[in-house]
Amino acid sequence: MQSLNDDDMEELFRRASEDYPLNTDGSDWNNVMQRLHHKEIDLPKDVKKSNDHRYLWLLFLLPIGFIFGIYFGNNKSIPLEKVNKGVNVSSPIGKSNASKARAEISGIKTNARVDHVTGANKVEAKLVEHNSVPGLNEIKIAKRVGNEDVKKEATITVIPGSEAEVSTQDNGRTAGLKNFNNPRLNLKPQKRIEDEEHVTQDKISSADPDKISAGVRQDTLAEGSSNERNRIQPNDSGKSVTGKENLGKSLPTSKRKLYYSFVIGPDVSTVKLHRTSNVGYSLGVMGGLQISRKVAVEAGALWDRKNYYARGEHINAEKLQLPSHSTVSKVDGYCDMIEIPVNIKYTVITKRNHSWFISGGMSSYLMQNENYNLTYERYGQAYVKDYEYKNASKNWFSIVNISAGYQTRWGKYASISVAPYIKLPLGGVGIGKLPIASTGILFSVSRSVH
Amino acid sequence: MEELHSIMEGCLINDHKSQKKLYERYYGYALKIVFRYIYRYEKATDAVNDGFVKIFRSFKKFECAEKEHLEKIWMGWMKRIMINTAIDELRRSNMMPEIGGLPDHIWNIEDKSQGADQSILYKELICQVKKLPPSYRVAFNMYIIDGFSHQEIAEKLGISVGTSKSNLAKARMHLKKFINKDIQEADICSL
Repeated sequence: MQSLNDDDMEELFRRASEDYPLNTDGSDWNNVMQRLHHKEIDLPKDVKKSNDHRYLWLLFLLPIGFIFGIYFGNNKSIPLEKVNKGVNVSSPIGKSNASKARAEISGIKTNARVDHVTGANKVEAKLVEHNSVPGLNEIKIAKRVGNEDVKKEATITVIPGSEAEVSTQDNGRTAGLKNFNNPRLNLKPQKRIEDEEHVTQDKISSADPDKISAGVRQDTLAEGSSNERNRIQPNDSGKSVTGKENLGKSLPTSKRKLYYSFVIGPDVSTVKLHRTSNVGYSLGVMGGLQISRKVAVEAGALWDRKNYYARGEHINAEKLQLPSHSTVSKVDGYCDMIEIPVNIKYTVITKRNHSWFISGGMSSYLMQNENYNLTYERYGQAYVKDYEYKNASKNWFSIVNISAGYQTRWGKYASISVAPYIKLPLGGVGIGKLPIASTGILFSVSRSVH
Repeated sequence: MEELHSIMEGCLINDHKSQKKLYERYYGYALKIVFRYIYRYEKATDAVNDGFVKIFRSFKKFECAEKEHLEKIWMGWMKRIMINTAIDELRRSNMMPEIGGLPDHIWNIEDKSQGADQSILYKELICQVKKLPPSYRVAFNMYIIDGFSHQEIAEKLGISVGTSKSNLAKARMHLKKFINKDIQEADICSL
């Protein structure tokens, strides 16, 4: 029998298309009616698929968060500005005996209040607020005798919100607030003021409770200090007089710490939660930067071996270079890759020598070697063959990492940690675009960089 | 013919009973069209239902000037909608090749009849068409069986005319090999 020509063949297929014996009893009118009359809207799957990628954009907020954390976080040390600010101690003409003098530090950032109690001859200076400098603040008080520049100064270290009473002894080495209505104040410090020594809570006595005016500067203290001499600005009217002040030294800050880690651990990978294959491994190095007490940023390079099994429906055969008209049935394979994780680590519970943490971030897979044992069908025949692909693909930020772990100190500078993890694919990876999910445990030894 | 006309008038005013009659009457015809394009039986039935929803929603667009050819024109209109629905479904899955066999229950082969052999042959032929990669399968179905031109195929699939011709040629080559092999086996058996 001769083979069919094209026309005969086409005619044969046309007849077959009309009369082939298909079971057509499965009509479902209810389904159609429901959709017609309830007007359900079917979103096309490509729209739904596009929604899956929207969360990827949130990850771009990570570097922005780093930048904000670095530049605006609480642990950043902000050097004290040397701002000329005067602390004015003034008292309205009181109608009662318990008049109050108010000290104001002109300028933006600081404020002080001075209270004095009639009869007690004391002037108390209270630093009410200081915005820019957490921790201790300093108010320096200058002494002025008459209209002469002050020669002796005292520095008061004040905790914001607390009251500081300032007084000095007129012993040639101290300074204090002066009541210009009474040329000299009898000032009694709690301790002697040495050169550049800071005085805390010295009391100032004032002879005139009703009218006190003095300028308080924040200058260096000691007699003979050259850089920032104080001037008390006389004010007989009781008006506030603003002098100049300089803020003191910078405050201590927590140090940002660099560290590095060696990591190793087993890895189990699966595709769409099908059966797992052999256990693989991860090993490599990570570097970290502790940007605050609880938060660190980590990145590194790991060498991964992942073993997996997949059904043919999950593999994209486009680039596999299979013979034409082949359909893949299943895949058994492994891949070697360089993984580049970028994670944020947050310490949840901190104890003295150990802590608990969680970590999240993204990884990139740079495939070095992919080995597939493919079972495929071609023209009704099944074939099994090994295929190997070298450096075939790079999948940047295609894996989401989530882990939680425990870390304990090891020696003075090192620590060891154990962290189970899950790695979830955002899409297909490798030449076959397989959605490989992994889980395992990473053991690491970390050491800070000195 | 009058019955079809009255059913269609009922569908125009969204009468449920008329729609149901039309659906049940032409479900098999539509399924046979779609099943040539879509590999999986379940997906094909879903696509047929999608197609009928589209038909009933846009029923007012159907026009037939020649009432004596109403059924022919209606079936041609329905066929186009079903083919478009099937192609949309294939494009949603990115024309990925499907694997696995087809279950026996989807076939309706009469065991003892004169036409059983022919039914089996037709079933085998359609199975071979279904085994083609989706892009070849669509080109073969649209050009050879459903009578579209390469230009129309290219527009529908977003490919070039050259690609359409190439896909068709490859489909033909594959099916021809199968048929010639089948004929040779038949010759050997008959010896």
